[in-house]
Amino acid sequence: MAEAVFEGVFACTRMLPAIGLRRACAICLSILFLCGLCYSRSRDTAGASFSIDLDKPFAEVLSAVSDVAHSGSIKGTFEYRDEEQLNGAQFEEKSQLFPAWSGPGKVLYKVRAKTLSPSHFLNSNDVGTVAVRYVVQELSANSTRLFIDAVFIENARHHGHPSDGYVETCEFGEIGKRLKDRDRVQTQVAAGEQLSPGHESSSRSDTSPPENEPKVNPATSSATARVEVVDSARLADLQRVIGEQRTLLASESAKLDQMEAQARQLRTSEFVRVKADRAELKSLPYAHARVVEALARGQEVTVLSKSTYWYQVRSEDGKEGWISHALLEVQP
Amino acid sequence: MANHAQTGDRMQLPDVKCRQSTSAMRFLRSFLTVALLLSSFVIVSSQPGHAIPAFARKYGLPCSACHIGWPILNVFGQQFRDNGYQIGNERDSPIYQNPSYWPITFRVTPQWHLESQTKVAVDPTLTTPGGEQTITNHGFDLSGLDIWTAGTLYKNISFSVLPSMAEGDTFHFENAWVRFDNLLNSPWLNFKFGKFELDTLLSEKRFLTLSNVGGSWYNYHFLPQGDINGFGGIGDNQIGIELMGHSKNSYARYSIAMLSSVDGNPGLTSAGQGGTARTYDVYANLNEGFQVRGLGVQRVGVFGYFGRSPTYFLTQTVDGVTTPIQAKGSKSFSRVGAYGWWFLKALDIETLYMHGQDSVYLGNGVAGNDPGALPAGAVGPTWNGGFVEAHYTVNPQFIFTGRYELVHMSRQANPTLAATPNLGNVDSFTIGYRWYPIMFSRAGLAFHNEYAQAKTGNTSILTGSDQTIRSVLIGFDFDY
Repeated sequence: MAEAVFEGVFACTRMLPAIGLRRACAICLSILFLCGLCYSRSRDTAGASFSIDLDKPFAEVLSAVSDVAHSGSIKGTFEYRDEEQLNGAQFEEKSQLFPAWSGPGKVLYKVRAKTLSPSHFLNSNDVGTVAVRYVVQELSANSTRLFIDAVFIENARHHGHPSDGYVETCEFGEIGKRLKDRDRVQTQVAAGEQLSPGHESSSRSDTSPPENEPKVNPATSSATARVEVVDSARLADLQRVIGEQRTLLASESAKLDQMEAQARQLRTSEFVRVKADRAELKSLPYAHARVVEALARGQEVTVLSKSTYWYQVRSEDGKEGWISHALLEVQP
Repeated sequence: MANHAQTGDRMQLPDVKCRQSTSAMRFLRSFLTVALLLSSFVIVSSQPGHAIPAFARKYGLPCSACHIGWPILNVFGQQFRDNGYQIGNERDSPIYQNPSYWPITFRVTPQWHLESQTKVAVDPTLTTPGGEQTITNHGFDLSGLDIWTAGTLYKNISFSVLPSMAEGDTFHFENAWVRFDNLLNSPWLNFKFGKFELDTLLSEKRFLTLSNVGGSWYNYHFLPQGDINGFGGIGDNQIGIELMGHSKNSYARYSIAMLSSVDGNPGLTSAGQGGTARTYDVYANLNEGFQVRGLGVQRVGVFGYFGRSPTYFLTQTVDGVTTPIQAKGSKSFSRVGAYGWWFLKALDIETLYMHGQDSVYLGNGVAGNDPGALPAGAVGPTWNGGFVEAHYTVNPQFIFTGRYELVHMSRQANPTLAATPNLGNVDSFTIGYRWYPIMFSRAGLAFHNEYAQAKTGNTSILTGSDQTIRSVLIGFDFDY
């Protein structure tokens, strides 16, 4: 191929006086321009949508997708090498970054503005906005189709960069986790009902009708009415239990998140104390940075991160800042 | 003029015309073959770019955060540069920097290149008569070496030092400056002190062509034939002080610089050009960016350089060695122009118009204290020029480039020169591409291919006919 390139270049060189410098230049620029237009058009539409059919009711899937759309972070992409996700994303009901959705289903968006060349977007460049679109479609009572698309649009060039698929996969992973959590809760609820004596009888009376149905005398209207009363009472009871369990789940999930955050912090935390008579907690790791507060000798602080000469710490009263490591000592 | 005669010949000779059109078809076929092969090559070989070249590794960002394609800056890259190599968030803090990080880059380009020039006057040899002939040389070669270090000394104090050495040459400082950024917490006040590139969005230091013919913009360095102006053009780095400001997003920018009239040569106490001048030049640049719906940011700007250049020197002779010790008879010159940088998604086009004017003394090569030596009818030479340069960014790892540039004299310096009005005119074009096969965290590598050609009007020594110079460059441009 190199020979062909050489041959072409030298053929161009020999023929230039014949064809004329300006004409040759015009041809070159025209070809460049046309190639550019054609190729940019094809690149703009590149990227495949992630879609999956789930054996779940529409409402359940929508609820999980909504949770993820409100999560505040976009998984599967990052700006800086030491990050794992994009934080600071916001839920939006509409987005100009995707063409208007004309198909069926509920559409949700998660958007992160001012993002620097995020990873896992094809030819990502410059600063722009990342948007994730979720489309949830009801196929049947127990089947739902989910589409996920992610795109990065440069602010300056209005140039679109579709995801390489990793972002959508990771986002679906989050949705999958939430769906599994719900399944687990429902299983626990069902198991709880079977174990609960009160529920056991009602459950038995509930499950027995199909078996006992032939035994019930249809002519006995009072018996039918009794069964209906029992059914409606059990339904209300079940709804109450599900409501309670959902509240419990939300509460436990929040606690779990909090504990995980604490665990993460504890894993990296180190407790030190001030060894100087007076140590200034700075807003930034510079000697002349603004003083957040002054700490006295012996005061304990939690180390959040470290640089060579500065520790980022949290004081006992919850204020965070930076202290020169020379003013601190590790607790015995 | 010679070209016109050739055109006339073609008109009169049908058989030649036929041969020419066959040749033209062959040319087109060859060109299309090359274009097709290159396109296939691009599509097959290009990969998404997540490289982290030299400067960006400080932040752990991919090179594409700042570059459309190395070394052209994108909007964020320009903003980062204008902000004193600071992003403006917590990532500027030393806490985020790897202690082993050292902001230094080496750049060099091993290459094979071909240089050809027509109508070169050669002396006779034992076997050949003297006269004009085409001289073509080719072979493997090295570019100069750049050792560039830049960054921040402290918050809002940035610096750059770039010792550079051409092959077989001694080191010189391509740039060396310190900049006080965001004074009074305003991006509109930044002072730079030292030797630096003149502020312009269309930067010769960050463009894509490297060959002898295409490796500079003629407009940025043009001088008329016989002109003695010591100013090397606005493409040369200059030494002085610059006040610069920009909006937060660097769409609106201004700069004004006061520069020693030494064409960037330091050494006030030495005997060279830097040690003789006593005058100062002024350069100003103003540009504005604006969004066009669906296309992106478009940028337009104007610039002007107003300077003085010496026409003779006070000298001192010691032991038979004459040394210039002070520049005298400084005369004025100016370069003014306007430019635009137009973005059509992946395609961007740079356009420039420039008008140049030199004093009658500079244009005629006459000392300022000897007005009687000016030829009758002498005037200050003027010229106009411009270029259109297109880049098509297939992806941050593959960029096509093409340029057409011209500089035409509008007024020659004296009636003798005016008899050949095209004298010194330049018509040039360049095409090429750069492919970045790998961009590691410590290095960038570009496979660079370029063809450039320029025709200079009536410059051959013996016959006064047009000369054509050509460059072909195939090389690996890398920085570490």
